[in-house]
Amino acid sequence: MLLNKQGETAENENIIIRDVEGLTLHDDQILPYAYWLAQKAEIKQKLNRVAIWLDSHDDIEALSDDLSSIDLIALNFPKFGDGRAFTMAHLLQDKFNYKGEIRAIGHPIADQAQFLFRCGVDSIDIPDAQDPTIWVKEATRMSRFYQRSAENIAANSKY
Amino acid sequence: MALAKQIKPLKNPVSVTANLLLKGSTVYLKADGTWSDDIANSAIAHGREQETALLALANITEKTQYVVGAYSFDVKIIDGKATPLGMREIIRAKGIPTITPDGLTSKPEWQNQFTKSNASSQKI
Amino acid sequence: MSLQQSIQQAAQKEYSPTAPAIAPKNVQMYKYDQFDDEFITQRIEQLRSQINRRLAGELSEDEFKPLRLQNGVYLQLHAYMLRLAIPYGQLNSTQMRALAYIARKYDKGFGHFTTRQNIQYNWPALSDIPEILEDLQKVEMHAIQTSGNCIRNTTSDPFAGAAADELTDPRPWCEIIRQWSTLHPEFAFLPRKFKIAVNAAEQDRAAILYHDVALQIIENDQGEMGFKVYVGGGQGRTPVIAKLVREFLEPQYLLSYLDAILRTYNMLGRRDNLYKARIKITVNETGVEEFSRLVELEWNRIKDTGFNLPEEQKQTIFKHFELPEFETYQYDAAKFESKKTENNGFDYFVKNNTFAHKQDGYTIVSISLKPHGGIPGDISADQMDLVAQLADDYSLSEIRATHRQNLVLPHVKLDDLFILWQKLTKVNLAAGNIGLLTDIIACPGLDYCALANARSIPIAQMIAEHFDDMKKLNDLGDITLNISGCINACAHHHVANIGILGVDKKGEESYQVTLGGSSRSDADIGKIVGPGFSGDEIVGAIETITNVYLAGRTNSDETFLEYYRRAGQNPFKEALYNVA
Repeated sequence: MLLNKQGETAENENIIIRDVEGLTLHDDQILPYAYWLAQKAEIKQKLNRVAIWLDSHDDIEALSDDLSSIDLIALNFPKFGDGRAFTMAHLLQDKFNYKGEIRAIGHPIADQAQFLFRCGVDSIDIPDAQDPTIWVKEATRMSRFYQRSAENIAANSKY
Repeated sequence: MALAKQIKPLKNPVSVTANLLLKGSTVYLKADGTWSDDIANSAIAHGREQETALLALANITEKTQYVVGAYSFDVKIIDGKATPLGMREIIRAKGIPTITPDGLTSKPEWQNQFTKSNASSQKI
Repeated sequence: MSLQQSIQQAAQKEYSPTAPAIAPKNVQMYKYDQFDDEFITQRIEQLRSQINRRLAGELSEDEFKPLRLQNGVYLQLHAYMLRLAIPYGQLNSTQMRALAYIARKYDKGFGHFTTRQNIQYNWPALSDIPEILEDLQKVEMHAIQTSGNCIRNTTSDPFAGAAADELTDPRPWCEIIRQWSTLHPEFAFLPRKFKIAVNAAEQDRAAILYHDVALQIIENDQGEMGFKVYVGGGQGRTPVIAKLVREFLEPQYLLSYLDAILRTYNMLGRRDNLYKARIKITVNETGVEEFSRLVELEWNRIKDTGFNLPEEQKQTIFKHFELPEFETYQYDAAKFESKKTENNGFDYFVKNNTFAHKQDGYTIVSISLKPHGGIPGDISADQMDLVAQLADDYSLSEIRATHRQNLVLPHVKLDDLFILWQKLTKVNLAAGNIGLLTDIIACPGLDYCALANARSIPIAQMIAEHFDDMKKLNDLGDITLNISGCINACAHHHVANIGILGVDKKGEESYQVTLGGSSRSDADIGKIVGPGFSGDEIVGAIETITNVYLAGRTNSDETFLEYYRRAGQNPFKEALYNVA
């Protein structure tokens, strides 16, 4: 199940590929960063829609030249306390001006949903077995912010 | 079994304690799987096998959100009842600090352990 | 009449948040607007739902713990503990009365002031916490980010806005940082906690060089104000003095520069080892030049496009801190002097507990929370009410909390000082020991804390009882003594002239002594003097240490720290361990 920043849910059509052995490429796959780095040309050629996922320790700077050919970047939470994805999302949209979709995957918790959206994440892959209604509620929990967010919700932001 | 050998045997008997999730206060596991605020009511485990069984019993109520953070600790048995070993568990079992906030008027017993008169400057 | 009755009589009014608040008059501090109030409402509602999810089993303890911590809720030995934020240590009298009310209604009638200018309660139930926070909201207080791996309460000079030796008032800048850091979406799950301190005075009364970021407000050659920026200070198991990363930061760039520091840390900070996760380790491992290069690189990218507080909003915040209207009057110097001659206690109080005010005829008064035999930092609800009353009567309704766990009445008329001292005397709050050996910082230690290895409070009490001669204490002069109950160093033992660290030695409490630390501008980290002492021996060891100093100093002008820096550890070692 996917969650967007308006607090709406949608079916997740994508498959996160963690093991690339014997992989046949399809448009609905989210490919590992290392695999994409090694097979860039082939992937670009074969797929209409390129999606990759980064782990929290991956070097986001190395992506900057290729961003225009990537449609979706998923940021993995190996555990919810690892907050690097917040900064990675910020850098993607603010520093690299990335226009594609930014998604959080792995193990975020519902209480992080709104923070993620405010850092520039577009969608969250709600972990299986979790109640989506809690995520929907937390996505729009606060309507008052002291910082201007990625979306610059001026009406709700103090400055 | 190689694995079992690596686990050190217990030096002392142990009991299991936790805090109540809602109130936060200290409680002790009884043999029937319920909890008491008095350590004297706690079940006592001798050896690793019994300790594991007690922790498993504690885990049942931890999963129902009644207690939080169950763990075992060393006890000494006096008159068949568990009493805590070590300052941390002695303080927890009392349920209050060794110095009461009203330190101006009351002198708890433990203070006798430290006296000014024997405060020698020499390390022996 | 008992002490209790005396305090109750002295407190003329009692505040209750359920009744209309007694609005303090003209206190120069940040006041909430509708935005702030709505923000707090939403945050409390969020915590309430998180508690309910925890109770329903929808959140595991692992998931719940960082969420409750970011709202100041710990689970300690006997109960939950709630730490409230006192932004940069400033309180008005109404807030102090609310703290008393909370102590009575939800706790056991007392609170504990911490080294981060906050207050904590030791006995609340988890189920009461949303209600406590709602009571606090009525007096414009909260507990947000008083714990957890996020940006904590910004600390500062407790004399800010009053001290004669300050360049400018640092509080508006602290407030700007407070707002910027509150629920900052990018920095709520940092590798580890993050503390920022601001100082604008000559003297450092906020130990800023032991913070993750230290901001010293300075004036450049052109007479413009700016920040000298240090990064990577901290205490804990690895004490480090913060390193200079920028000589002069123009104030309009404060927030973008902080964003750049935090962003760099969030990406580089270690997440594989809890004990190596603070920014001090990041800076050490990366090297300060490289770390600062990365910060500058990021800052140059965002300094003009990223977020900096607009001038208009900055002015709005600054308006809250305009100086109060002081009275111009001729104070009676002769009468003041004669009171000092007549009353030894008052003389010591004036000497140790007051500090020069920027306004003629006024003084800054410290209230020691280290009365003879007391618990450092602890204060009863009745005493809180009394301090509130005294603030109303003598200090323009203003109170401060200090990082040495004391309170301050920042704006007291010299003409009122004697009567104020008399009133404090009646309730055991007039100890004239500020800055002396018995002005001890002590953490709650093993009496309360789940992390502690040894008790701190009884040690503090024994030392205070042993050194109870004011004449001798004054002769010993300026000495800091701090006692931590474990290596996490909450009581700053590393930076005390005499530091005591409680450790567990084969199941027994043992106390290790460090000498030569300083938390002021001449920051230094104390060094271990030798093997530890038992609880029985520690007072004697401190007596020996002070005797070595008294015997060895050139004259009474040479402070303990100056003597130590000149003589080194050897004389102390010889006396303590009988070794040549």
